[in-house]
Amino acid sequence: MAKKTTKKTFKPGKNIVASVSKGFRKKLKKSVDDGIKELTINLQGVEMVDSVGLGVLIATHNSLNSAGGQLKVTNASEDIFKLFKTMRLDQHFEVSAAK
Amino acid sequence: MILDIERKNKKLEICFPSMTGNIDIAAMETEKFLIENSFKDIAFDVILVMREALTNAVKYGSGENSRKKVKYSLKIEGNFLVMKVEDEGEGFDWKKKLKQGLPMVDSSSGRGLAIMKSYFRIIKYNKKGNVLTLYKKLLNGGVNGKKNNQKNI
Repeated sequence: MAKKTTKKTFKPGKNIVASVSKGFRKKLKKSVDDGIKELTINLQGVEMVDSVGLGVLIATHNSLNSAGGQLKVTNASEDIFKLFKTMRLDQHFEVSAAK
Repeated sequence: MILDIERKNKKLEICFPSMTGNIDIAAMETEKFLIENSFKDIAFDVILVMREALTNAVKYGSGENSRKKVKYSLKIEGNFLVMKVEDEGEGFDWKKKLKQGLPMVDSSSGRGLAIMKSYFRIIKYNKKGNVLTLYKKLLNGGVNGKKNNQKNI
């Protein structure tokens, strides 16, 4: 019997903002419901994350955390990384900047 | 989805039906305006705050009612970039909201105003709370449109 995977990476490749938040939230929720414990959001190619997008990431991390998992955000641009730090979200889940 | 877009000397004005998709079009126009006026360096800050202000106007001010209009303008005035957003809603208790700091770190909402306060220097509402004006200081070349090399709020 194949071992169920508990890790997944999402690469949205487009801005995570109010106009796309519903669809993005749905995709992430499905992963959590499917039993993913470690979800990585690779922000390569993402130029903007607004407060609605941040809300989706926080809600996803909260759900993962309740199930013993965690969210990781990688490849954040300099501006987006600064935004996460300004909003102190780097204290809530792991965030790393693009190299 | 009919938008009125007007670009005059040092000023961008957009009037649009209250729908979140229109915020993306306003963001593209804002980026063009900033590049044309040599303020690409602060484009992220300005577009982020524009998105927050317009999202509040569309979602809370107009209740996402596409029959209501949102007016947005951005202009260079002396050493300031001035953003104005007006909706057709009933306004809100902005004095109470402006006093609030960052929400709890695990809260998935309530960061819009905190972002505006972090990236722009002055935030003003009219008495009712449906007209928002924000000011961002331009340290270098605000008047003459020279390259702005220094970030500031």
